[in-house]
Amino acid sequence: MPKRIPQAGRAISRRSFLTGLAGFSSAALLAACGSTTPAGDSGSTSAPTGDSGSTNAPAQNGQAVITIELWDQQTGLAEEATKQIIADFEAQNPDIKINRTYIAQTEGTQSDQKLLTAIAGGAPPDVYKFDRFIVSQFAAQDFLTDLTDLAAQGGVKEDDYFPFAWEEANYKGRLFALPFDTDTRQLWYNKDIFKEAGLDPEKPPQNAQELLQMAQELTIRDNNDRITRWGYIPHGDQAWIYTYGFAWKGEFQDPNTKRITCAHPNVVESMKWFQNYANTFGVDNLDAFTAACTGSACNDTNDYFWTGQAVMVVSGNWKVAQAKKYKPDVQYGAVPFPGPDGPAPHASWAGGWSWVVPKGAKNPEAAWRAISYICGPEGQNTFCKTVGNIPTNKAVAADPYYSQDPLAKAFIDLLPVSHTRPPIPAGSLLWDELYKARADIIHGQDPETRLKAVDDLVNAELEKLGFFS
Amino acid sequence: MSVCPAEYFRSAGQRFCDSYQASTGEQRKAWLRMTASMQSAPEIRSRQGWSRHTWRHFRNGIIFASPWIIGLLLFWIFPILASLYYSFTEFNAIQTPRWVGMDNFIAMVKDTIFWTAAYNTLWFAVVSIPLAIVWAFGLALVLNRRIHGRIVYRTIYFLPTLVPSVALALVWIYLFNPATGLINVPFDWLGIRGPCWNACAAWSRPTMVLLAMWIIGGQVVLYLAGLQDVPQELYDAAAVDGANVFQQFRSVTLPMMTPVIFYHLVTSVIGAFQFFEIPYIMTGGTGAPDNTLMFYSIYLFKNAFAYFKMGYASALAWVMFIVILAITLVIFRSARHWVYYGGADFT
Amino acid sequence: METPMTRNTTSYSRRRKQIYDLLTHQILPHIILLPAAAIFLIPFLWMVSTSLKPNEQLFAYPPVWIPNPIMWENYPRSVTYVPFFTYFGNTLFISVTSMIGVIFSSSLVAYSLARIPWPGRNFLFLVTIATLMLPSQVTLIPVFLVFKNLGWVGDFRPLILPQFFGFALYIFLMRQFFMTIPQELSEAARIDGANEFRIFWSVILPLAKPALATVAVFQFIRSWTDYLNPLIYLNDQKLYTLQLGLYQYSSQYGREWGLLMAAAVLITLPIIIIFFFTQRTFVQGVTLSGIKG
Repeated sequence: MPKRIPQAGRAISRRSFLTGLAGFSSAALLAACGSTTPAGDSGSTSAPTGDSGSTNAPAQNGQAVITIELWDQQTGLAEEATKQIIADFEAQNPDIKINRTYIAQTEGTQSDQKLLTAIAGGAPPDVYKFDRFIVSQFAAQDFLTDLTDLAAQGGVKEDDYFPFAWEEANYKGRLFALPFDTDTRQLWYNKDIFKEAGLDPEKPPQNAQELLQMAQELTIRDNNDRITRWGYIPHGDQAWIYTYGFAWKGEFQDPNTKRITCAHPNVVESMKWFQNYANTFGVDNLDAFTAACTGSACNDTNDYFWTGQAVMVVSGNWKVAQAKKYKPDVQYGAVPFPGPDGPAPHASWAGGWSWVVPKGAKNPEAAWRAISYICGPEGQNTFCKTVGNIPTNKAVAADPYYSQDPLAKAFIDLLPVSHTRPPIPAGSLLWDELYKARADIIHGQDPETRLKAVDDLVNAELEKLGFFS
Repeated sequence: MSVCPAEYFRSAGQRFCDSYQASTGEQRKAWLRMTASMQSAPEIRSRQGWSRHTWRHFRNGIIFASPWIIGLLLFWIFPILASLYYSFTEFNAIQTPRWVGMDNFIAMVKDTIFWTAAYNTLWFAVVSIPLAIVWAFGLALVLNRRIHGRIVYRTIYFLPTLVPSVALALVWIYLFNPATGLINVPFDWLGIRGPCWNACAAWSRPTMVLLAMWIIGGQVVLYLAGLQDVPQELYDAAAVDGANVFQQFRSVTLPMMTPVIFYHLVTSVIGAFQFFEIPYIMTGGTGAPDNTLMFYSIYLFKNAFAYFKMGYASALAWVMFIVILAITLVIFRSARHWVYYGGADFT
Repeated sequence: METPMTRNTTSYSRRRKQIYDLLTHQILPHIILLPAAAIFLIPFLWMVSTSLKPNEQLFAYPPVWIPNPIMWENYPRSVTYVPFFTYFGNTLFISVTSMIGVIFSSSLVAYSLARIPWPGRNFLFLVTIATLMLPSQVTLIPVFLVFKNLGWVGDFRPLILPQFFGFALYIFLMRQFFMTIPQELSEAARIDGANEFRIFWSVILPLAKPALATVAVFQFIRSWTDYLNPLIYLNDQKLYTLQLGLYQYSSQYGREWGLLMAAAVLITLPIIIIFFFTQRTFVQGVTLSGIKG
């Protein structure tokens, strides 16, 4: 059944019902406890955010200054870069002031309880940093402001951004986000351990066959047959079904019907290779790794790649900066993933972030101006140079700065061939289902049957959402 | 039972102890019946209209309960009714809910993950609740003895409940790592490969029970507070009668602790059905391996906040509510036969 | 618990009794308690150990338990990396006020349910427990709407004020304790002409100190470790709490493990200290046996 677009009238009627409730509640409260004073600590000067979007104050030149609320989940370098971008923006736009708030990121979720609650409660921020992968999903649910017209007025064009990033920011031909940074994926390997194990550090595996052979040579087991050093972790870091499927030239979505096609013959082929690899190294050993690295337990310094417990992994460009930070003395290399018949740069897929204007934002026009600056050439340049990420703006990416470091260049060179995950309104469901499917394939289920089940489930959900109509 | 009013405040303790010492066996039952009849007498009369006495109690009862009654009206009634309404709708948390009648509940019957999650949750409840009661009560009994360093012990047992969950999660994942975790060391000494813990379907649920036993400190404190309320005189009297430690436990400690056990039982049923944080952290919210750690609350959370099916999530919640309520009512019924209140006999 | 000795024991059997007492009261309990203590200590010890490790030893395999060198500087760095003391003050304020509110309200309500024989109290009791049975995930958004319509979103009020109206778990707990106090004490006071509040205040509350202290500690910890409510309701970093602050040590691009764990230790220490020193009040408080003349 197609999802109906809510009419303003009905939305208002619900809101007025709630306002009625508020009247009742407040009256009851006042009756109950007399004059209740706000419990905020005396030193603070905050105002409830629900209303702060509309605070207007005269600027020096007589123009009204609009304050907009910006939320993001960034800390460290990313936070510094964002503060810089905001300062630059405010200097150029004296009529807009940005009030930035850091929002804690709940462990292990793609969903965002705070944002969803705020949107549902009618108190969202004006600007929010958002995983581009779930833009379609949020857009389909009417959680985001349609930016198409604002983009046309502001002269922001599809041609300014890499196509994959632009595609992810759109849903059903309408723009709901502006792309920010991106990442690409390939095979990382530890040159020092290669040398130590008697392998040529300049000759990483060229195809899947060699990957298996070298992994066997590099793997170390203890007395109880437990793996203490992995030659290659087949389901670690970014070794998702997407990576294998793309490496085997599979397709996850039919370009015409838009249906999900995980059971594509090439994806099934890749999963057969994967299943064989899992059996070779022992399903219980793979399970042990999964449990050990649940959530974010193997991120950063605890990454098996940095601790030397893994010699080869599929991972992304963010490791360039991490290598310098965590292991400046170890030599690493990054090459295209070894596909079934030779290097497969097309195994790479690109993710990344975007900025959105949540539905119900108080100042969508000012918010648009802010995100078009943040995601424009200046914003992306400041951010990517500080953090070491890849920009999605073509003009910025052309800057020779990004090709200086050979490792970084290897990743940026993958952009033209990189894929994206299918931009569908059930992205989280598909992700969860593929995660489960990978586990089931490790445990011996037939890849074709299992992937077929994923397709059926997700397509049925998409049907329900009216995605194909 | 005549009590001298003038002496009351001075000698309340003594009188209490006297009455307890008197109340063994049949005597105690008679005493209980009497206090119970004192309690329920006004309610029996209520059929013919309340006496002035009853009205006074009613007025006082309402006055004392008024903060909570106002709180219920203010903070609870609307959200509870709203979620009940949502359970009959298709609702993504922001668009206008669309009435679908019983559709959500019918969909549940055909939803295999719903059944898996319900099974996992029931399994956990049945295994963990008795263990938790025995474990917490047992530790409290030992900690209640006058031994050296008991304050230090109590603090240590309480520690895991205080450690922020971000840190606790990581230490668990680290310790239980089937390949390199500390927990494997004793098995290595024996020359065998330890179990796969939360990594495989066979061991994952027992591992959750084990972890739940780790954060039992709050319950231990509760039992300790309860043990403090057991009058020493009862033990003295039992000792004079020649009762050994185990007989004292059975005839004094256990009956006197039944109100606390009752509380722990009811709250742990509720807690077990809403078991969320540990498996969520240990699986990153995936419910792996093989959905054996997909607990009811995790599935509910995913529907609400990852798949935006607030209507379906609300229906899941209300089914859970009904099940917990039914179990709680059964426990309440049974409480008449095993929970001993010094002060009154109702529920 | 010392077993009183009968007056006519011989010195021999007294001696045997002493050895028996020593065994059952001192040695045996430690045999049980020590290994258990070791298990319960592990998470905290690991946390302390990690907070003092240099980066390369954080997750070294095999694990390093005693860091070398010991990175004491992680502690001063962790309190400057985020506005730690602002967060600390906010959290303390929320926890203390919530604690006061919950003790005051829940004990009154529990008294009503346990000690006043009014018609309807069993129904109210059931409703009270029922409020615990509906998972908060589905009421999160409606509750937010209530607070928003009260105009409370954005400051501490949604975190503190509800506690002044009682919390079901603690009402239930105190009810259980109140009900163990013999009814005749209340009846006697009523005959004596004392009003309900006087009975509540001067008879019941003093006898229920261990329960009150237990609730106080539970609520303090509940507020102190609460993550979700501050996340949802606070929109200003100046008002953030320690639990939100803990997440600032992580980012999408890396995590400051040492600083995170140092902060976790600093957050945990105050509760440990409070718990350690207040135990006397709540596990050795004025109990019935203490009144005995």
